[in-house]
Amino acid sequence: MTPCKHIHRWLPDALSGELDPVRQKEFDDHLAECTGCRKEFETLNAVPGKIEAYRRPDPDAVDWNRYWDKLEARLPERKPSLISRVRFNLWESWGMAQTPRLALGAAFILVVGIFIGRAFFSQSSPVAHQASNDPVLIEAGQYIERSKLILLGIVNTDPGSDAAGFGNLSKQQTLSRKLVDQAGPLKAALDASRQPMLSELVEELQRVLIQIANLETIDDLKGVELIRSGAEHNAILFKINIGELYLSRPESIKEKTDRTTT
Amino acid sequence: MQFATEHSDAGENPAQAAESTLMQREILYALDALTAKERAVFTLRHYDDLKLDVIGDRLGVTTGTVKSLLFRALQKLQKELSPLVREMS
Repeated sequence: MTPCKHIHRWLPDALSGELDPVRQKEFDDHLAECTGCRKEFETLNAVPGKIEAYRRPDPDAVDWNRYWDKLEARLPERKPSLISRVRFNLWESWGMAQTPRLALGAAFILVVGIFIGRAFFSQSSPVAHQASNDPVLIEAGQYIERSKLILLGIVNTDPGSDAAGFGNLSKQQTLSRKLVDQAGPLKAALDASRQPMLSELVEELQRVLIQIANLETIDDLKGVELIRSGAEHNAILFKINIGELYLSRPESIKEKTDRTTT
Repeated sequence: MQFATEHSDAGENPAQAAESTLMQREILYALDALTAKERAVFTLRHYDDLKLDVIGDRLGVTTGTVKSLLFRALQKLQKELSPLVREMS
């Protein structure tokens, strides 16, 4: 019988299924007689199977879309009248003096400027980079990223504690108008690519961006608060995160490739 | 590769769901205990079904090294997981 030390040396090859036929026979003969070696081989050989038994498959595009639909169903019903009431009450209750509002305006410009700068000048977003095989998904990733940056600039400013006044919004309004114009063709392309979740997300972002683009004055606190409450109400930032997760999956590239080749 | 830990499959009772979730976490911990190369070799072999020479090309190592890394990965995983598997079987 082949000595146990030889069998141990052959274990990596045997576990990889790469023993040559002669050694494989010696190996099998040895295992038939040696309980210790047989047990060691069987234990190690069973590890991948044990792990596989508890493995769950990565969710596919259908699962992501189903989750998106469930999320929509779980959100409270949209009530424009409620948002309007909040907007009115906040406007009435702030009653802020002009000077602190201007101070907040300066802070706001700084914060939004950083976000806009990143949106305009960043070479590639992580999402866009990962979905780099598909032009439609690249565009969707860039659209989501830029919209998020604009939205974050507005959502993360606290007029109640920082002071008052939102200053010059012209840059984010310009970018918002540009993105609003892009939304239609992008949505059509996503629909054609059978990406309903991303298409809906782009449509929702378009609605928010229209609101931003249509802010009337440089210190339209009412309008900004309406955008913020609307974004919160519709969980738009959470949806953006879901969209980014969806786009960052390697499968999003593979699925598209499979579709185009069949 | 994913081991979901938040939701159980439909049809599992609470005890099975808890066991399943516990095992999934333990597997993640066990995979975490491997070195980067061992983990790469193991996942490329058992999840991507790549041949050893292809794995070697990808990682820039010889096929012999791939075999050794895979063997060490299996030993470590077996050591990490065996107490729990024994307890549950």
